[in-house]
Amino acid sequence: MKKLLAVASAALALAALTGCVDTAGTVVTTDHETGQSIIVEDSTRVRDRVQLVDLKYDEFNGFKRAHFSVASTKLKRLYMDYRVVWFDASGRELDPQSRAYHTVILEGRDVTTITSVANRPTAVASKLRIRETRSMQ
Amino acid sequence: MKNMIYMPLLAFAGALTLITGCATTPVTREVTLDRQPRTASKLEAQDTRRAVEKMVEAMLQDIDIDELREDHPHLPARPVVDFFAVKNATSGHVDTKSFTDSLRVALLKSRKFRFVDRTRDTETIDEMRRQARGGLVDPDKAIAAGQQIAAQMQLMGRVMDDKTKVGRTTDVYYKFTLELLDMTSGEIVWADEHELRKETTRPIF
Repeated sequence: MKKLLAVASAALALAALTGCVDTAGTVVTTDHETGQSIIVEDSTRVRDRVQLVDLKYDEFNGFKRAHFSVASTKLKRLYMDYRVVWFDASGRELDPQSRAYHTVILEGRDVTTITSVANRPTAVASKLRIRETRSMQ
Repeated sequence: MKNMIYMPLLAFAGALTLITGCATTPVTREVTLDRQPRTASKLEAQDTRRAVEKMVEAMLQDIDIDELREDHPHLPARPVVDFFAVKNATSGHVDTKSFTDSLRVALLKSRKFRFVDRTRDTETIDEMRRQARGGLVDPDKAIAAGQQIAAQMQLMGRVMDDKTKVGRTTDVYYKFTLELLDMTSGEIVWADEHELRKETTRPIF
């Protein structure tokens, strides 16, 4: 009986703790003027699942564009969220409220390209953030 | 030894407190705008936010105004667009006014297009009449009729859904469509779609 209670309380405590999800992920910051990119992998779980394999940027129609190729290292289908925000020359984030998180579904060992276009001509830098879908709550 | 028996009970009570929380009054907090979808049967705020972002990106990527002007020389460098409210062709309620507004705001910020809103014409005419006849406004400074800019293009949108229900699972497919029409030639110069599919499975209990 004592053992059963201990197991039950441990399970409950674990259930309570799993509610606190980790929202950290991989962040790729690119300065489109200098071409400098910084990759910060804050979550080992995300790093072990998804890796940035290529990064390209260009300008079309007067707007900066960034293409991030991400590869799944797992055999199973992965559900990840990503968001790309843009910054002007002074480092101010452009439209922080209107940039939404999108879900990308990665098939096993597949590579997909995430493209983002700055909707303002003043944008000069981009920041991609990838995290696990379950951290959306 | 007797105390050892109460230890699991204490841990159990602690865990229960963690789960249920101690507050007796409702707690309101600000949450992220991108919450995980709660239901498939309804188009949620984050779905329209994503659709707006993707459709604006597609429009800015696909439409090269200089190239467009080669085939449509009557168009100015920043065409004037009349944006009709996005039509709701789904089986449920969708706030298409909000969706239309968000699209227009994002496109205005790009500075590629200029917009007119013909839905406000009645209020504008009333104000012009007040200025001309009310006696409060300097007659030389009152807005005269016949000066408004003409729209050269029309932007139209539609959102539709297709719902299927099998057992406890509801599968809904949504499609957003946008079309840009050159009013002079009547030609649809650009169109794009954004698709979304959501699934909800009801629990057994």
